[in-house]
Amino acid sequence: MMTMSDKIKILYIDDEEINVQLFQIIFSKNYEVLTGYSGFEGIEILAEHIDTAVVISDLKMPVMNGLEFIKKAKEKYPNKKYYILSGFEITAEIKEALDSGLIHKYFGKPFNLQEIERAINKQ
Amino acid sequence: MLFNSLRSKLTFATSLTASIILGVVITYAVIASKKKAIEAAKIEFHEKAERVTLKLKGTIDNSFSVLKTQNTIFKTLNKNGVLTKSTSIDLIKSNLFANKDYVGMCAIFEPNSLCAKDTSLNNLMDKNLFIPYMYYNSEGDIMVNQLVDYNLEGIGDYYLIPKQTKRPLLTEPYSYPINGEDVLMVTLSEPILQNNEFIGITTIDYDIHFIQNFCQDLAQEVNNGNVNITVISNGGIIVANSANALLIGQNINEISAINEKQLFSGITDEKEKIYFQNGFLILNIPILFSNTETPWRVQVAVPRADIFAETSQQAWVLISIGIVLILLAVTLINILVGNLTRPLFKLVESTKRIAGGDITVEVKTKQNDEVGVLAESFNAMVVRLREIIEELQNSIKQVEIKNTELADKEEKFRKLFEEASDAILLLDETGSIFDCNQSASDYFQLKKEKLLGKNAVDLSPEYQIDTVSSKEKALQLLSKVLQNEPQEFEWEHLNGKGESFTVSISLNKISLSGINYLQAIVRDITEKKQKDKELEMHRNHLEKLVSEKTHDLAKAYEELRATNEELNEKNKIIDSQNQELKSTLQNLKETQSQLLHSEKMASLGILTAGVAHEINNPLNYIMGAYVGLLRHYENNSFSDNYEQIGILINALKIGVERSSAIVQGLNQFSRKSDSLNEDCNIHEIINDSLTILQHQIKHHITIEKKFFHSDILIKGNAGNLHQAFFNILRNAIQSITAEGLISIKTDYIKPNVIIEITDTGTGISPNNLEKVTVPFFTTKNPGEGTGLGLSITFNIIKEHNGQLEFKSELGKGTTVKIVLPKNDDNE
Repeated sequence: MMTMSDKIKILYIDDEEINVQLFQIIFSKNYEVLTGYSGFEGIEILAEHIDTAVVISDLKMPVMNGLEFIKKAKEKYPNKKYYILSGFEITAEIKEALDSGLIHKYFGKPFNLQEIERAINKQ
Repeated sequence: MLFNSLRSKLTFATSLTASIILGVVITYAVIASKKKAIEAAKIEFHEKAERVTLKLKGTIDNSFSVLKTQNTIFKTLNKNGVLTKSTSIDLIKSNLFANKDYVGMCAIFEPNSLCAKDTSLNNLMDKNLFIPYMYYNSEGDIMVNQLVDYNLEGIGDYYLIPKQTKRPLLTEPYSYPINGEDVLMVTLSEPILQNNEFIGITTIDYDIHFIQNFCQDLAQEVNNGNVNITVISNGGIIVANSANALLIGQNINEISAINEKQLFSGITDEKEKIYFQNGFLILNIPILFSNTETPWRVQVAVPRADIFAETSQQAWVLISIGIVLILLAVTLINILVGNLTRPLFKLVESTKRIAGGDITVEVKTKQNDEVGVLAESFNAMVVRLREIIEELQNSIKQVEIKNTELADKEEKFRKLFEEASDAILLLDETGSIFDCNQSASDYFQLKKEKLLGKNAVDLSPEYQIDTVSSKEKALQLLSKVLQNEPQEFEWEHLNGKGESFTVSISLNKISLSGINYLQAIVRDITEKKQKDKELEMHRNHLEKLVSEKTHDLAKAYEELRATNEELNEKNKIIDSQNQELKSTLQNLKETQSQLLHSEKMASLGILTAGVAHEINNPLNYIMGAYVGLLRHYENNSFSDNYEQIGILINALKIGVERSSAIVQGLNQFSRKSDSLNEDCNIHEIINDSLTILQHQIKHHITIEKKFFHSDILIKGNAGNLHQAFFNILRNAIQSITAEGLISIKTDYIKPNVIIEITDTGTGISPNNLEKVTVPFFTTKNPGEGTGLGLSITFNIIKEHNGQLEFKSELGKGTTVKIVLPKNDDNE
């Protein structure tokens, strides 16, 4: 029998509360979802939950943006999958992150459930 | 030569002899005194070594006699059957008490001795052996204890060896801690023999450090302490060393310091010995204690230099005296020899004066020896020399008078000859020049030396003016003169530079010392002829100059004409460049307005990107809410209006999707990039454009898509292509006022992609059709259109190496045909 701990653990970071709540509700059905409102929180959560497999972050956030957060997190935990979920089109910044392998994929807002679930399940 | 004077030779020889004699005498004296010094040192060292020996031997031998006396008592008591343990301990204690220098004493009684059989004091017994050890403790009280390890080889040698040899033994020195301090000790061991039967030993432990102090004090008395007095045990252990107390206890074979190692190497036998080694004089004498078989040694060593210090000083005094004596001798000899050779120098001096011309010299000497005889012969020689010289002088005077007369005559003739203005030449019978004067040299412009020996014919051209050969003519003239017919004639000559000149010559025969010569007196008549010639040349030169200048003028005129033509041509070029500049200016104007438009588009791009982000976020909320609600809807039953709620939820999704598509389309248009290498999907681009134009299409226009069966991908700039299709489609929509149809057809016919957009709008008049791509051409009312749309579209298609064609009929509609090369790498 599966237990809670068998679900894939994913971390979602977004500075907008509604986005975070919706993400939690929608993805909790199939995954164990951890959430935070800033990159700083994200780093703390990752330190507590070493077994987190997937990190998805918003791009535009105050003080530390999504790519900066992912860069920092990847230095410590290089073996996790990192994704950006943003309302922006692919910008030069995102393209560079994709080319350098910093992030695995970019998802646009409004999100596409199937697209995101497919990416996570590829683990 | 170093010694080239008699004086120095003699001085050198005598000095050398004196030096050799003195050298031999001094060497002998030094050797003798060295021997003496060694003898004296031997005696002194021996005395010191003896004192050490006596001190050490006296102490050790004394102690051995104490043991012997003590053992005799033990033997007697044992023999008489009265030796008990307490008796023996008391006796040893009394001896220890009497000798405060002893560290301790012990006894070992064999089982065959009486006291071993005594049953008291069993705590001092070991395997039937009685083994008491008595010693002073730190308070100075005598204590008794039991021995240990007495029967181990090495440690127990003091017992085991005497037991075997039945002879006394002095152990090697060893270090032993007494009251916490290491002390160099020896053990003296004497066996107790009864009827030659071994019944035990008694021993004394002796602290021998006193010998070190003794050696140090003794060393101070010798050679200011610069002496090394060493006591060495039989086994080579250093017991005392006056120079370095740290060496005590070390084995001489294991010493590492090089100096000291040298000092102790080479000690082999036990006889007394004195020898030099490594710069030291060393005395080595053995010390034999009591009845033992293990002699020790005393060694006294003094640096060799110290022994010979006095001797060396004496030697230097002797050498100094010797040098003074030699110098004295050399000076004396030098003076003596000087007196002998002085007359000789005078003779030499006189000879030099005679050589210098003074013949009044006379050498005076009082000497009667060989030098005196030499001086007299010299004087006689000088007298004779004076007579000869006088005769010679008379003859010379007469010759001089005659010479003066001759010279006068010679001078007069020479002047006559040399200073004549005509050239005078003396020729021999063949015509060669024998002598000539300065004027001749001037005429021919040749130095006199060069002229002499030359034949007159060689100084002439091959033919004379009358065309007769110079040689032939000269021969005739010469033979005539030689037959005493003097000749006068004109002649053509060549000077040294090969220039000809004309002369008149008068030729006479003269005889000198019986030899025939020809005298030629020559006068130059060239000058007048020469001037005529020069005038002629000047005239010719002037004529030539005039002709040359005329030619130059003609040439300059020609050049001027050519330059004029060139200038005309350049003028034409400038005209055409002017034209080009005008059209460039026009192009610039167009580019400027297009740039303005691009600027607008770029600002729009930034704006749309920001707006898109802001819209996408709320869209994300709605999408999230939709997914969440859908799940609830699927899991619950809404019995009363199930279907209606389904429709409502689905409406949410469609709304989000459509809004998202618009935002995405906007993004495509605002995208700014210069790349021509992006993947562009033609169908997507057309659909995006239609999405944006949706509100203009509304319900009055039908869109008919006849798309190629699969996606068409080309390489290009996606943003620009979006703009191009957007413009074409917008024009089509705007041309339809009421209801109408826009048909879009795409096709792929290798290697091109063809897109045809046909509308049923108002159409364009043939007149206007030509101008549709001209910038700022528009049929719309002012403010409604910029007139740039199709111009920009045309440029974008051109950039993609494509073609843009228009077909139109007024009132029927327009067809725009776009042809793009499919330069996609995949095909």
